Amino acid sequence: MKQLHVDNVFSDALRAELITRVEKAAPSRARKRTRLWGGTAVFAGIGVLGGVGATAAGLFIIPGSTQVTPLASPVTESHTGTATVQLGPPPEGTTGIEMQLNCLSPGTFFYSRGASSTCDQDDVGTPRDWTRYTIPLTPGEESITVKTSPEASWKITAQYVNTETTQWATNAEGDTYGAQNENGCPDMVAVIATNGTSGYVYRTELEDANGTAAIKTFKSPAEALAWQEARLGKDFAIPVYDVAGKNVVGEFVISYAAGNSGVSGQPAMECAGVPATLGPGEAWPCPGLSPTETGFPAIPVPSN
Amino acid sequence: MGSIGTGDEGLWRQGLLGQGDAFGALYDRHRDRVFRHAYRLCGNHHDAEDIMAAAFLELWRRRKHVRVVEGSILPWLLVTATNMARNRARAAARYQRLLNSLPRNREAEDPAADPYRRYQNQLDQDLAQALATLTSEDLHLVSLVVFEEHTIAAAAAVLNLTPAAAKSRMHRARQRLRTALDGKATAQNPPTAPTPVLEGERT
Repeated sequence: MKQLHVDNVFSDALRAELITRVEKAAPSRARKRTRLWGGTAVFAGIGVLGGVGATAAGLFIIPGSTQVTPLASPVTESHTGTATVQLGPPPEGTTGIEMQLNCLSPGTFFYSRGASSTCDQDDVGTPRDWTRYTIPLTPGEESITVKTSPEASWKITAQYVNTETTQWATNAEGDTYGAQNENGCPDMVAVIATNGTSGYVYRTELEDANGTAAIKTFKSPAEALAWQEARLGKDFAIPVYDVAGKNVVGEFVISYAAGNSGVSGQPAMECAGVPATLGPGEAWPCPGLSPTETGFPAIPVPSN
Repeated sequence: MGSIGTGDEGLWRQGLLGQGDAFGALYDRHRDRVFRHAYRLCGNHHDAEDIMAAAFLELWRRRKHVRVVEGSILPWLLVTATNMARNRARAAARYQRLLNSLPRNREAEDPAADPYRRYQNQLDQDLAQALATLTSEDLHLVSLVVFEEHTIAAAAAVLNLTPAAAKSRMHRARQRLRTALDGKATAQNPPTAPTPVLEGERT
């Protein structure tokens, strides 16, 4: 009688394919910062909610946003292969080292704390060659070592910075408002409406629209996929209020566009100044993907 | 079941770091169980292979979201395989081209020629149909607890249920399944109680 088993030829081929996929992804789990957002249409609209963009653009300071203050002039060096860049003693008040690396040739680059990034041939000379981390300061650490293969070339710009997350503010209704940050989400989240007006959306409305609420109910990848599929090509608009939470000043649209995954580009203006606190092995996906980067028509960045 | 519940974590971690061999070892370890599970759900050899393959491909693709339960990735794989089996057309679409490109060693065989085989096929299909009467949550539970002998607590953990909820759900699911299988038994009058799929040995 025939036994029930997997076809050996099929199984071996599948096994080889799996191993190839695993090794191809190694050692960088965050090949490119934007890659982490690939396929997560659900979140893509949120990036600008950090409010840092507005801050960086000098519009106004949003409570709860992160202020990054450079404390020393940046050091820029180019190297080939593994090298250490000396930064000198950190000034008073330093909380981290902000570094930006551009790859000048294909390669994988390893930073401290297990973080790494990889450049393909296709990435070199394009905006995708860019990686940015803020490394929390470790006492005694006055240099950055980038490990890579002997032929890989790179350019680094690094400086000591002080990053400080301000407190959320509270309006007359008792709702907290401001930017999303590592403490979570305030009751009213700073956004830029489609008409360019800065304002706030209620977190509850945002979570309903962007899927945060739904995600908590998913029990499997398939459910999440089905949910995304059902919303593909649709727009969800939620009202943007003034700081009092009463008057509607515009709307914030979350789109579920097709083919949005894996799009990458220049660091969005919103990214400037976003502090990346790296955990072991983590790369910070700049959360400030602008509409042009994600393919979402939702949130125009003000032209001024 | 402690033996299967331990030992994945190390390999899984290594796999995440890009060590293909570790992932390969996980594949070797769980392939047959995932395959048999898939077969149970669809009653078709070829589809079961596709589902098994897609579950492993998903394991890698969704690696950041995989839950290791009691030291094992098997529950996650089984749940994923269950979902794949439920939405075969859609779930497999992502990998269809790859799956079609993988070689297969199809022995020339005529299942109809072997009466036992034909009978077994019928039983397999019956079970697959009975399982299809369950809601997906119940199916996940039955798969993990009945077929794969995980504890209800472990199944609850992977399915995001409280143990108490899982227990009462499990009870109802068993009843529903029994009704579905009994209904078939009466209708088709097979000689024995339902026999699940053959637990085939590798040769």
